[in-house]
Amino acid sequence: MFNLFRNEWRKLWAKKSSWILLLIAVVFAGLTAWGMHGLGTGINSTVTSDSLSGASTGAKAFLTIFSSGSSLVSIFAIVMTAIIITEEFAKNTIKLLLTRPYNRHQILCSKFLAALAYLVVSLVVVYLVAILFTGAFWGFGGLNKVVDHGMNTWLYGLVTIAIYVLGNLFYLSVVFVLAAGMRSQGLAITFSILLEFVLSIVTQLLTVLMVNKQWWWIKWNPFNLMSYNPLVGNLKGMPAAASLSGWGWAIGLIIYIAVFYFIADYIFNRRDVSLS
Amino acid sequence: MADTTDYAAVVDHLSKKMHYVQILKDVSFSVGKGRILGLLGPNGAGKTTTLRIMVHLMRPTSGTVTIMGEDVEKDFTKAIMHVGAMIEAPEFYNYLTGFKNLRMLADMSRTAISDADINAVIERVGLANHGNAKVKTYSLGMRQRLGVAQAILHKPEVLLLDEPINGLDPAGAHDFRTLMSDLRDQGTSIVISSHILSDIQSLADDLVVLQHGQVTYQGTMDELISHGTNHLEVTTTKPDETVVILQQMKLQYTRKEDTFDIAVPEGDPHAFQKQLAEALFNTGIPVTTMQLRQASLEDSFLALTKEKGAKANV
Repeated sequence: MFNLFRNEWRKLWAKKSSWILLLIAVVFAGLTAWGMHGLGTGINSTVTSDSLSGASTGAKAFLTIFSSGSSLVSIFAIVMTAIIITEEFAKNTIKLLLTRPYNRHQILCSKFLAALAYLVVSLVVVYLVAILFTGAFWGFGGLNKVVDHGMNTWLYGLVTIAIYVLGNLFYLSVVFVLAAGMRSQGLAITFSILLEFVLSIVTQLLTVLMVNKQWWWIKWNPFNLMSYNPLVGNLKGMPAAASLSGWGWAIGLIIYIAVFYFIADYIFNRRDVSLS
Repeated sequence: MADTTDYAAVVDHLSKKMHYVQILKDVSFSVGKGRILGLLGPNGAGKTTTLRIMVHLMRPTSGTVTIMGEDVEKDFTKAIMHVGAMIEAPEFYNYLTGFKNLRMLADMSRTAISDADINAVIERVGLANHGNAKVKTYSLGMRQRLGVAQAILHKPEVLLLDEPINGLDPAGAHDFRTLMSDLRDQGTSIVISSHILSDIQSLADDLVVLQHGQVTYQGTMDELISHGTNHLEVTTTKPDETVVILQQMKLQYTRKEDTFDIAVPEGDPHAFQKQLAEALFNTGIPVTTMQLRQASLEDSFLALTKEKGAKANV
């Protein structure tokens, strides 16, 4: 199994696109830092929550830079995940994998792990880049101060990575379903990216429905779980019945990830490798 | 059906239906250990589909495939360990070198394969100077060689090769035939699907002919050749009188001026040749040339597929 993962990992980084996409995320994070520093704007209107109002300028800058880079990483991880499967079918290299002494569950699992590893590595790179730019422009001192939940910026950033990873894994599992069933690389990528944009609209609609009809169970829909950040907490004014806890959020997402993964696994296992 | 462990591979009552189209219908054959089986058939006969099912790239609608006694459907990983396969055109990761492609595939094998082993295989298929070039720079023939390399990399007991000579130059085709003969001599059982009949003729011990998704012939090469019609080419100085004799003998022939191409009826072709010579001699028709042309594999194959095709269309 390790060999399968190692092969996927080699293939992933042997492609120029993997490096280019990561570089774009890094450049975007750098431009954000440069823009904030050069223009002296943006820090107070960052993605940080009210609870971070007392955080240092450096901490806020870091979170803004990290957030801008990681938003691109989310999209790029989706693209790479779609490519990891569909390219094998589009270029017919899948037959090289499926005629080796491993079952299809193992093949798919190695691809999922490679996609997960790409996401984690990309987020860690953006994290390090955000740290470097913050240190260069605002100094490293502010990063040691407590930001929220008793965590300094370094730790807060790492926890944010873990939250992003879990949230994005849900996307990746959905992308796996699309990619396992599609032959067209372009279509799988388009649908996958579209999904991310559709998500925000669906989340808003479902929230309105939940509040108006008082159907609090709707809070367990995957889109709501995706938009929830346990570090930020629930929206102000949200009734207790509609609120989520950190554990509820994590368990809910893991269940959804597992469900979508098993659907992808079922499709991948049943699929005939048809004629080219 | 004999004990599946007696054979390297056994295909048993295989059927495949896709989108309401019957691709394979009750296909059965077996591959003897240490033998080369040629899988023949016109385009669309179901050769590639059969090979795909044999390596579990496709699932059959019904029927089973057993490799070295292991059921491919029930115990895939055990069965496929014995198999090296090249199905359809060989595709690789273009952004990797030939060596790296093989290294990656070697790492997926259950047996330890060193870099030296990989280089030896690269050399054996005639890619010694190209192992470190990216596959995207390879010609079709080089890809074909690399395809064979990945199939034999882990020294499998059963080789399944789909149109392996496609794209090879004459030297490459010769190398390939030598390699296959060597592997057979070492005990490897090989299935080669091809529409290049001469390649099959020089390699295969056994033949399976597929047509319209059905096995229309299974046997040895010699048996198939004997199925074809022999021809007798006769040139006389009195062609019009010759026509009368041929019609009297109720023979099928074609005429080109004073030369006749006569289909030899079933039976001993030499006895027929003698009988015709006597008939012409007795009626005073001088024979300039008389040459018996034995059926080639191509003649036999065409005769067989035409005959079965006609039956299938009835």
